[in-house]
Amino acid sequence: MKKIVYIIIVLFFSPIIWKGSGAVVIAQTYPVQITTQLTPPFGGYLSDYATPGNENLKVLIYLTDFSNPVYDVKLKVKVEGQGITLQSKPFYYSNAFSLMPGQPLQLSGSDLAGLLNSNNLDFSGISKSQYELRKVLPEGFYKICFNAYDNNNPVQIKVSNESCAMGWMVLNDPPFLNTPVCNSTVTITNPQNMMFSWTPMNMASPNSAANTEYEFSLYEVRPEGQNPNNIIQTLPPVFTTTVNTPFFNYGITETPLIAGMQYVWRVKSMDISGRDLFKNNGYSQVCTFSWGTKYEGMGNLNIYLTATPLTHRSAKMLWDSIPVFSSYHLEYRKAGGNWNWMPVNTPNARTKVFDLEPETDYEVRVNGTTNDGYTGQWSNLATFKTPATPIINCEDVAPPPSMQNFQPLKNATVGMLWNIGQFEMLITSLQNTQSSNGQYTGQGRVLLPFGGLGIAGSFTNITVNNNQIVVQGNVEAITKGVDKWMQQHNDDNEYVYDDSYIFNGCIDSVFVNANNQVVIRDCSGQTHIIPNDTNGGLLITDNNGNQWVVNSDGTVTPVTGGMILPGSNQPLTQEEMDILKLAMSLLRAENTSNSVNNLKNTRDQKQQELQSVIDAQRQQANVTNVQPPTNADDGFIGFIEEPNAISNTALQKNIALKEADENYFVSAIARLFSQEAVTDAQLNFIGNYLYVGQLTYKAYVQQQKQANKTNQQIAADVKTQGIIELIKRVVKKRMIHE
Amino acid sequence: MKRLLLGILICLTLHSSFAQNLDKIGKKDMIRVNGGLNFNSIFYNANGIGARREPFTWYANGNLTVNVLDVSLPFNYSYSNNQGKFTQPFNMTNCTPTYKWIKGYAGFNSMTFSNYTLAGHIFLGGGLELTPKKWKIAAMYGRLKKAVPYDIISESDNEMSYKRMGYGAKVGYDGDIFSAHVIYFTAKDDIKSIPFAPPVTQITPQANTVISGLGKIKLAKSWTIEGEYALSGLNKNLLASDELNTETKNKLPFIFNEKGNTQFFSAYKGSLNYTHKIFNVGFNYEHVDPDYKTLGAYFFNNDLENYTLSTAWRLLKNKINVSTNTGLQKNNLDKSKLSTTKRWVGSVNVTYSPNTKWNLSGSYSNFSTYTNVRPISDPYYIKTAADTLNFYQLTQNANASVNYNFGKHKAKQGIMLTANYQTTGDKTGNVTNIPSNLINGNVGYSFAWTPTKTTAALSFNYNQSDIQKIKNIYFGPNLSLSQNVAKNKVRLTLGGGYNQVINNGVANSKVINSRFSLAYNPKLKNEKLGKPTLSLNCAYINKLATAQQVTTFNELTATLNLGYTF
Repeated sequence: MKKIVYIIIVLFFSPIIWKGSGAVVIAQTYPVQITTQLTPPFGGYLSDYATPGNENLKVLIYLTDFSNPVYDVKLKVKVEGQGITLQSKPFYYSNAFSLMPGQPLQLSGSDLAGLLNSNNLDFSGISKSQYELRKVLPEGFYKICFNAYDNNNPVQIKVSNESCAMGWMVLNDPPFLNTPVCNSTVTITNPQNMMFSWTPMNMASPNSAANTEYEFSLYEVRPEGQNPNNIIQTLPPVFTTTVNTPFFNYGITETPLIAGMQYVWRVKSMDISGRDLFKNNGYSQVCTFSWGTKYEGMGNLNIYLTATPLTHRSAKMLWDSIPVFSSYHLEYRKAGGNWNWMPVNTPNARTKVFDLEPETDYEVRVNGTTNDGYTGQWSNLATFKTPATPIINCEDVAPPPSMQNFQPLKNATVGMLWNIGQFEMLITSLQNTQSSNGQYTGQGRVLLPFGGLGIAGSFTNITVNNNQIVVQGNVEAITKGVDKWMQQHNDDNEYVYDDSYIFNGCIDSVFVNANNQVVIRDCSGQTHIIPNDTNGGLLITDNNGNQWVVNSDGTVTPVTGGMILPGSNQPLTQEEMDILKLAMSLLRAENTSNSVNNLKNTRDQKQQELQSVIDAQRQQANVTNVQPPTNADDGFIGFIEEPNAISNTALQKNIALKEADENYFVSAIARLFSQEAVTDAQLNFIGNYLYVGQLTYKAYVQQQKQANKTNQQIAADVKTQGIIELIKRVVKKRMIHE
Repeated sequence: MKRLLLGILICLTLHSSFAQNLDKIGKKDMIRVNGGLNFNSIFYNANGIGARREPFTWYANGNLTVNVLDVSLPFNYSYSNNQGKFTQPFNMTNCTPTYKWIKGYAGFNSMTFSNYTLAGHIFLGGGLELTPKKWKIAAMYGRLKKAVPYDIISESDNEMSYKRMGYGAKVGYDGDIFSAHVIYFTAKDDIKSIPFAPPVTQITPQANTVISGLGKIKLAKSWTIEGEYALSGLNKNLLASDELNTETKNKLPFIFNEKGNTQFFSAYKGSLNYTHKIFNVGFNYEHVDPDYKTLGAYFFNNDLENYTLSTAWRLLKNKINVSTNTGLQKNNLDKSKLSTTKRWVGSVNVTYSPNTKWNLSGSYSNFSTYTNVRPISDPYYIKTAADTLNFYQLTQNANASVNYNFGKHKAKQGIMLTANYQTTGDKTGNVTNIPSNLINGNVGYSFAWTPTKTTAALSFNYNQSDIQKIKNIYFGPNLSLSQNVAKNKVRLTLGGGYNQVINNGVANSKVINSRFSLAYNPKLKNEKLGKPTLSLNCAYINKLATAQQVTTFNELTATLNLGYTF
């Protein structure tokens, strides 16, 4: 026991001797003397000691009996500590080693492989399978002892002293980094001053607890975005120092930190005495942080944004101009739900957007970017709601636009939506894209608030202001009405296309942009560029059956109402023509301007009724809240039932409004259809794209003729079941979408 | 056969998609080229102290993207003369051609399959990423490490490395409701790649195979559950003696045949997230076996079990944002260590912006560590100092800032107050070390005159550190001015600070630090030709000793950046 105390004293108080060699020699009178040496660092992986070439564990065997020229011995091993004993199995001995007197034999590395193989060891205090899981001894103080036996004697005869070497076998974890927190952005302080701190993980090791030093290294991540682990393997640090505290105060005279730069740092734990092993050579996991942002401390970079709607399709946004930003990136989207952001980039601190949906809540935000690519924080989220679509009345005259504060639209592109009177026009082609006085010539499609319906028209030198409102000039299609529109379709009398594209969704409009790409604007206002080209024409069909033909010259022809299959372009017979003419005149007679106006008035009345019901409901709700009922039961029932009754009324009123809406829209469009005298060519066009019930117009006429119906009768049916149905279908589709 | 079918399928798809774009051939937009070049040089000079940088270093990096029809071919490169004694390559080029949902990798690249498998390790080789519809397929093959021989002259194995080749694949499905992926990765060192290895070294040739499964499910609208399980087999030393080959149970039969020193470990984690309109809650659990290692990842901590809970609240219409984070970490999972360390990390962060003028924020974080030494019942063990090695460390950090912005659009002004306090203390056994404290305070005023694009900021700082009985104080004013000139094409910034340093009550030095920067962004007449940029940044420190034991030094670092994007 005294010896062990002595050993431990040596172990703890003479690190210098200990470092040199872990030898402990205990002399006895045996013919064979063994000396075991354990060189630091002391690893708990027994198999490491048996790796070829490894000399951490050395066994020196010396034959002192000079009477024997050659003497063969075999060895046994015993590893003890932490309540664990691993020793050679009773019948296992190492290979024989031949000794010659006076010549020491040194065994190490692979010589010890057999002895340290776990198959040849008996385990106590730990099961073999437990050990084999990691093949490492639990941490702690161990001694490794060797004994030599006479090789030639089958009986176990010990011929040497028991020689042991000892050590604390520890595999420490490298330090854990604390502050600055990994992946954080550190707020810049001027001048720089920050504390790097970490937690040592080897504080329980008697070898190194009091002897640990830390090597702190800081690296710049250059170029931006490099893998930080690769940085530390390939570049020198910009600052490195060795400290004996688990923190380091990076101060004013240390290498200047660059604003906006990403840094990576790590700490290496080192045992000054060299006895402890650390995972990863003592290097911690790396940690990165950013030294603020480049523009921190350059004043207030917050942007305050305001947004207000201009029309049902447009809004303007204003925000603070910040000197350091050279451009701004604004994004807007429909509020609520996961709509995609629509981007606008501008160098100015204001912008306008023109492709909004009516009666919709929008949210907007903006951030700034400097010349060298730094992007600031998002501004506040501004919200606004677009007003409802103005009601179209064909009799209405566009209000005279104000020429006060006129700011011309200086740049125009295909795909813009301009307001003309109460209508909107989608620009499909332009002769000039720039104009200092806002005058443009080109073609567009005037949109009616119903899917797919639109009137193509051309304009010459109309004046547009920077809110994209046409303030002067006329669009031909509108003044000449359906006649011009029909004629336009009949110039070429048939759709020419050799390619078809089916769009999975609902299409609002189709146009061809300046790069000759076909652009689809879907019902949610988003645009899609489709891969197909316009060479030879392209037919586009959406999920609702609406169709468009993109002609070779880049113009787009909407196929009214959809469902119509191009290709059956046979001229109508005289009789079919006559019947259609009759149907049109019936339509015209039915939808006079008075009747349209009446329907509009009915609709407005219904809307007012609904509004008053809603107001009443609100008031009722307030009343119930203000005056709690005296009789609890009655009040309870009343409270539940009253709002229900009201909301049922509201629902009915709402249905009534929708019906009135539909009647009015159908009538207005029917009037538009039949307003002017129609040419044969136009009738041909309509006749070819009209269905009556399930039959094409031609087939229907043929069938009715066989049934001996008069032209008058057939025309009436064509009007109601064909034309009106077509308009209704489109209107309904639109109303459901709304 | 399946592979053949897949090949045919891909070829057919490619063929039919190409067909639609053949019309572009011969047109002017058939080939488009864009990209950017960056050249960064750093000049350094120091007097009075040893150099902390090389006198001249440069970095060049850039990219060039060639678009042919729908195929895009981006080339990237980065070069530097700052490799020093480091031998793993910093200089690298790569190309990542992309066509619709097909992406290729060539050259020096990194790919990430998952944290426990291939995790962003740089490799020289090739890779492929396919994302047809919701499927995701990724594969790579390449050299993870270059062979670097033992440095015989300085007898150093610091940089020594075996050539390491690896390959792997990840196949999975990313649906709206659920996603699932499986990963296989294997790497092996080439024993013969270096001529000589010293007998005693921690750098050994290794072989590794790791498999992993990942899954994610969205429950209802706001719940997300994620998880990963990885099993890694590692042969720590391919040179280990055959005689040591004990029959370990192979947990990766058929795919990992390395015998000998093989160990198997697993790592797994799971997370549960709940998102609500005004708050998010996330719970994470992670378990990494002792010694867990994969050759596809750079070193990460092992032997740990981690529980973290994070919450984020948005109150009063987003005017108040509160986020909290707390984590408990424990090691010594297999009880083989002498001590068990528990770490607790907690942080709270609050920001309050009642309107656009005021902005208040505060944060507090706490890192406490407790290492508990296991009582030892060893017959040879005698009570020593080691018994009192229980170790306790506490680091706390508190931070507060107030910003008040006022003024019209033309003249924007702001007042800013920040304070920071950090303390670190530890206790070993019964010995308590005096905690080290750090206090920073800063008061500032900023002014921006929008019409001329001028900004000015004036601030005053006070810093005090008490470290190991040494009290160090410095304080002083700082000024920065910035102005746009030449029609906003040039931005000039000038800043400086003057600090008085007081050490244990004795004024021992003055520190002057100044910065100058110039950014020039000319606009070419024809913007299609591209956009050049130039910037120059200088930082100068001058420490003037006023006491004898302090050294006087000055240091100048100048950075010149040249950029061109087209």
